Amino acid sequence: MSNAIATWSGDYYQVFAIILFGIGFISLLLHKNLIKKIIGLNIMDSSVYLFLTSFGYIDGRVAPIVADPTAPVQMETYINPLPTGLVLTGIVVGVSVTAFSLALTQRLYKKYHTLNLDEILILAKREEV
Amino acid sequence: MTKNIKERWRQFAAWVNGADSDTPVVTPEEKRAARPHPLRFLHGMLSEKNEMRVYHIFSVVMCLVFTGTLLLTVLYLPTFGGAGNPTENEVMERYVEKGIEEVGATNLISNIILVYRGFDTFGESCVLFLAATCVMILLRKDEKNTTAYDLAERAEDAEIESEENTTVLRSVVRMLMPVILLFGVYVLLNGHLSPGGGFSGGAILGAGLILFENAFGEKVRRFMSEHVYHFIKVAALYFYGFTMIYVFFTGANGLHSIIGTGIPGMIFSAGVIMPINVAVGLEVACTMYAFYAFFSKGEL
Repeated sequence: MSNAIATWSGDYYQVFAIILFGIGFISLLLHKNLIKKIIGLNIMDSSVYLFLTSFGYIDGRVAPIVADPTAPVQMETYINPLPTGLVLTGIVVGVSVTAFSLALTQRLYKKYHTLNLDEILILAKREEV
Repeated sequence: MTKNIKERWRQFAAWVNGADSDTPVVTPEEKRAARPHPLRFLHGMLSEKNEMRVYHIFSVVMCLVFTGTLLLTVLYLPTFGGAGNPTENEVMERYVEKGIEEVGATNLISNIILVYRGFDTFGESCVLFLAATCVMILLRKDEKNTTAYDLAERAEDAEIESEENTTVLRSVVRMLMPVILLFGVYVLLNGHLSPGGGFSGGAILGAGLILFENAFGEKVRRFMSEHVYHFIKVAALYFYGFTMIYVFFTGANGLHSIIGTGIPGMIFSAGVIMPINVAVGLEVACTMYAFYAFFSKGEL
């Protein structure tokens, strides 16, 4: 157990990302308000970005922006630029998904005048009958 | 009689909470009967209060088990920040050591996202384009789906806007606007030399546009019509696509590209990266502004 705590305190970025993921997941499950559900989804998104970028970090190295381009570039100076580049894709896709789901929510609100998911489902069922 | 009073009281409570008078009212009994419940087999065995409690406890336990499993997985991951982790491999070596020589940007990340993995970022721009199109399909208000309520709302908005009660906002925006636009353009044009690039610069420009629209609505709408929006969005995406095709065609066939890499560190260097950054930035700025416009008014 003390071994595990030592590992967790070393990998604190990943541990924090997973706790954040749990927070987003529980708010997705427990909230009835659609906007709050979307906020929970966004928190889960952010935790995944944090998790991915943490793999690119290497102790004692600097961000991959070359200050002196005339000198030969040493790999040992810079952190891994690849996860950072990949997270950019994730961020843009997250923004797109958020915008799309918010647009759907706005349409639902215009039709049913409520954001509560339970009530929306009941009203939709009542319409079917 | 008592039921009638209850019903009226419920309607009154809904009205206090801001619901319209024609909002259908859902009774708790109906709610209980129709609830989509993962624990439906318990239906009738528990009271409603207990049923919700079981659902909440079940959710929390599920989430805790899930988080715990992931935390156990972290124990087996490579150490955070350690040199020589499996992520530090020949791919990274190639990107870091050959990046300036092959592509020319001193910001190594923009080398990766715009040239080495250029098609990936192109797909991402397409996702943004598709999202903007979907939002437009869902929220656009034209003569076919505008109700009297929408028209009244729009007239009210126009009246509020014409009342000239935005003096503080306007004077602050007058001071801030040049700085925001200048910063956005700086981030766009220096994407290959410093942190930034198309997406962040475009987001800054889009945020500036939204602020400007809030203060001086008419002035923005005069130049940002739907035609201009469609033209910029589609032209930027086409430009990006054809540039990417050219870069990959010459690169894969070993042809000499007429776009040189220039002197690394200068503003006109790194070949296609700066034009692509500008194209992506314009598209992102347009999309951000369009999201705002469609969500608030339903039209550009």
